[in-house]
Amino acid sequence: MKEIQIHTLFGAALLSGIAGILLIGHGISIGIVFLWLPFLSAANSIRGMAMYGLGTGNASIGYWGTAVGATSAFVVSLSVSCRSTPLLYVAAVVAISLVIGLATGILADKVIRMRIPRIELNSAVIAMSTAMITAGSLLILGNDYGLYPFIYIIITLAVLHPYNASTGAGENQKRTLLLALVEACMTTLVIGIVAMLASRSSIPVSGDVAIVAASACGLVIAVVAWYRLVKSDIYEIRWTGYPPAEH
Amino acid sequence: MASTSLLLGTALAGFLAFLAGIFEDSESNAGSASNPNSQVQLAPQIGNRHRYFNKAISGEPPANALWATTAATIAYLLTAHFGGDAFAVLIASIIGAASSTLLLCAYGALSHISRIASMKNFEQALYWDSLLTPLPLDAAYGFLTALILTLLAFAAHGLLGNPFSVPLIALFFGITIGAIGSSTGDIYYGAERLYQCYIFGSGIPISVQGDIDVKGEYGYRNSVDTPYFTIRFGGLVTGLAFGMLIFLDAWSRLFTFAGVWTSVIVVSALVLVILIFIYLLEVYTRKRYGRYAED
Repeated sequence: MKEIQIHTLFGAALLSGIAGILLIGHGISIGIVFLWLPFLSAANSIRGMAMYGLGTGNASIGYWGTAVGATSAFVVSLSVSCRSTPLLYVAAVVAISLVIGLATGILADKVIRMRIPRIELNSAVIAMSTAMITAGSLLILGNDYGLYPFIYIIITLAVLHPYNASTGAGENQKRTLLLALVEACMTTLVIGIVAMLASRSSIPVSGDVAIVAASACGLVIAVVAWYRLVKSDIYEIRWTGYPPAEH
Repeated sequence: MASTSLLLGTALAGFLAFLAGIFEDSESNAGSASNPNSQVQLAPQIGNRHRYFNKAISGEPPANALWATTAATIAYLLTAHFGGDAFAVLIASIIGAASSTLLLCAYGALSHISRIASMKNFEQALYWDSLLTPLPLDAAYGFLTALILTLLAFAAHGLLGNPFSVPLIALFFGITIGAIGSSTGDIYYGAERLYQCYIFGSGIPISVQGDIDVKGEYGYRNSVDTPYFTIRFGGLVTGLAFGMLIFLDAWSRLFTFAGVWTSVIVVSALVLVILIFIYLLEVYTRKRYGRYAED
């Protein structure tokens, strides 16, 4: 089966992420669904790096990449003038995360000599994708600094987990990316619920309800599609039983 | 003279941290997380098809950081909205921990199914009951861990006067407890329990990796048996390590009788004493038992 290239997926994720942030910036919270593609793109790049024998390094790459991306978005969101103009905000987030992501990738390759093929490209892709997701989430959740750790860690797990969960000889890109979609929907669902609490109004804001509803629909569709693939890939599914005796 | 809230905070933090350690280690063992995860993953490749629940979420530190931070964030927002006396904090923490437990169940089930789907070549089947039986147990331990870490974060913020926000303290606690659980507690499960067919304490040479025990006291081993076994030692040791860390760290806020620098001196002396004790213990152990003999 032909795999989707990093460039193709990232190109789509970049356009989709920018559209998502601009929509959210103009008060249309449902634009968060456009952030699902950046989740896929980041998970794909983590897969690209971790495939080269980085079993336990998978989590570290997710940590690192999201740290770069989320930090870039947090830094940009500190500037009020930047935050109030969606176009400037998204441009600054993308530019800063590109520079820091590339720089860390080059340092890892040239100075630490990690010898992972295309580490610069993948590092930049993870940083930019997670930066866009963080920037979108920040616009939805508001400027409460108490929520930053939550935003960081929930995005980290959603992007590092799909490949980590699917690792094995029978892993394939399609199933890993579908799992990434499942987890992207799950993450935006939780962000929607937290946004309801963070809005501090007694009745949930309609935008937050829309996020939860759209994410829940997406989650159901993604789980069904993913489970269909699991059924075609798996050796056998049984309710109970003993493995065949080997020795 | 230390104030009552500081004394109460130190005692409470140490106690809560001890409990959190026990629950965290049991949670990770019920789901074969962290190091045992690789061992269980390798097993079918050398013909040991199993009925373990293999919850590959990530390393223990990020996973626990997520459960604790989600619980603490929800509790933090609820208390900010409805007021934050002790009772409200408890109720809010329970709601937060319950929400993060749902996330844990989702991640756990997705991981187990995905990993087994990638094991087709090695004829490992997915047995629903070997996922659905340990999952509630894992969720229960996960709930208790998230709840106690959230309460601990509130205690550190409120009683001990930690300047950081509650979710950020919970993130630190989650990462720390995950690191301690995977370094202290996992040895007992990943290197000993799974390898009971080898001599105790012999470590896991590359040549035997994946050759785990798949059969238990009766029938095939399952992941409900694991915490039942590890809670007797691994869980308590993890609790002791995390509990001591939090308890002794709280001393830095307690001993300020002659200025702020007193606490720095007290804690530095404490670290020195611990280092000397560990050094002497290792020297004694090496003299007493010698090098590990090959066969």
